[in-house]
Amino acid sequence: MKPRWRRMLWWSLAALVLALAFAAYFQPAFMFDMATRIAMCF
Amino acid sequence: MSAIQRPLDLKTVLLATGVILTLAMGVRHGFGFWMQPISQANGWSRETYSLAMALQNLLWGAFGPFAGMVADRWGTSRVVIVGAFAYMAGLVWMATVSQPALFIIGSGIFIGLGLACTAFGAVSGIIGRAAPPEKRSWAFGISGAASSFGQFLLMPIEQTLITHVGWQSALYLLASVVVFLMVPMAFRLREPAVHKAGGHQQSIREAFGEAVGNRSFLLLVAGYFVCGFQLVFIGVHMPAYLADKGIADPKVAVTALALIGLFNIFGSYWAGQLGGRLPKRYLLSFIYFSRAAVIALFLVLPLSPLTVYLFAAAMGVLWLSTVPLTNGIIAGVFGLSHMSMLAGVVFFSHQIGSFLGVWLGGYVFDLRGSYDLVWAISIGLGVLAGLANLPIDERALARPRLQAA
Repeated sequence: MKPRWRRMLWWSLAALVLALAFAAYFQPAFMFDMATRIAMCF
Repeated sequence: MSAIQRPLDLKTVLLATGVILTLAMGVRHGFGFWMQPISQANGWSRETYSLAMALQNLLWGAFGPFAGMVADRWGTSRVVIVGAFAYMAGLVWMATVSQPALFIIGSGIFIGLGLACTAFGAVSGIIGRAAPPEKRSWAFGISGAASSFGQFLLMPIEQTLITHVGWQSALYLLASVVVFLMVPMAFRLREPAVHKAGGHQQSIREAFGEAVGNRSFLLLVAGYFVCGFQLVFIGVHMPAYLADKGIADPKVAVTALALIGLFNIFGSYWAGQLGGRLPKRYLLSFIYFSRAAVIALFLVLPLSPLTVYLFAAAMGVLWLSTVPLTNGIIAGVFGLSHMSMLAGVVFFSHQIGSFLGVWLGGYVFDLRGSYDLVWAISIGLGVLAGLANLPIDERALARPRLQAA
């Protein structure tokens, strides 16, 4: 594989991992946990 | 474990330290999720768990210079192995100990030591030694990005673990992952005769004395104090501030958290990359001035979900971007022989700033019923840190006696 394609593959993989991690923040269970933590501030 | 003779390979060092930093910074970042289940299971008030977290952070800073000293003298590999087992012990301690004082002291010591031995300060020396001078800042940027990535990635993972396997099993699982991933990575960080690297034989006492007597080092220490103060104040008190102002929708807070995490990765990487081309002191000044400006704008503009997202993205870029630049200056001015120890000293001031940021936020809020004064202090400190970094002298120190030796 050419270095340019290899680099693009790595960047695409990194972007995919970041997108999946970002999406994980919006799972209902995570949101509920955050809401609980915010409520605990008071 | 014996020292090896092959030279350090930058790719190997970056990969190994990347895994170590991802875990070290990521696991601790989600500790807030355990506050409710641990407090509930043991019948504690939230104060007990909060105090344990505060002590962890302080001891992380206090152990830092010593962990760095050992890493510089006897090798990063050994320090990371000790750190991985201390981290594991701390997580198991958190899962099993139900006596409040023992919980606070034990988790504080074990996790604090674990972090001091596995986080950025401890591994910065080996990164500096593996990277040629022209790539050093970039390499620090990659490691900073790995730390940021850990914080971003592990929060939802830890929350999912608690939901699916329970809070105790989640801690046991993380303890296993820490040891089984960090220890093999530590073996990739063996280096030949660490204490002789750098070409001169300065003692720890001499290196420490030289640094604390150096104006530029003290200015870096002052800047890092501000960094810790601002970040932890915002990280801890932001949700309460938003709710006070009528934005209580958890979706806004979660989106802000995710944006800070995501942009933090890019900010750390870009800072490191730019630090290889531009004077690092000016970049650091720019970061602190920008933080002050972003906070001021956030307070002046009408508060809405959009301004919260913009604020989070901007602060995310500026979040850990100070780390590669500060460490880059330390490496450039003082050399690499005592790099980890000096990074640990500077980081201690970061942790004192963090402690004050959290505490002052709560104290002033109780006293005045608003965060306005602490926001104003954050802006003022940002401007002062921006000014403090301008006169830093980035040139390597001349050591005639040592060079002649």
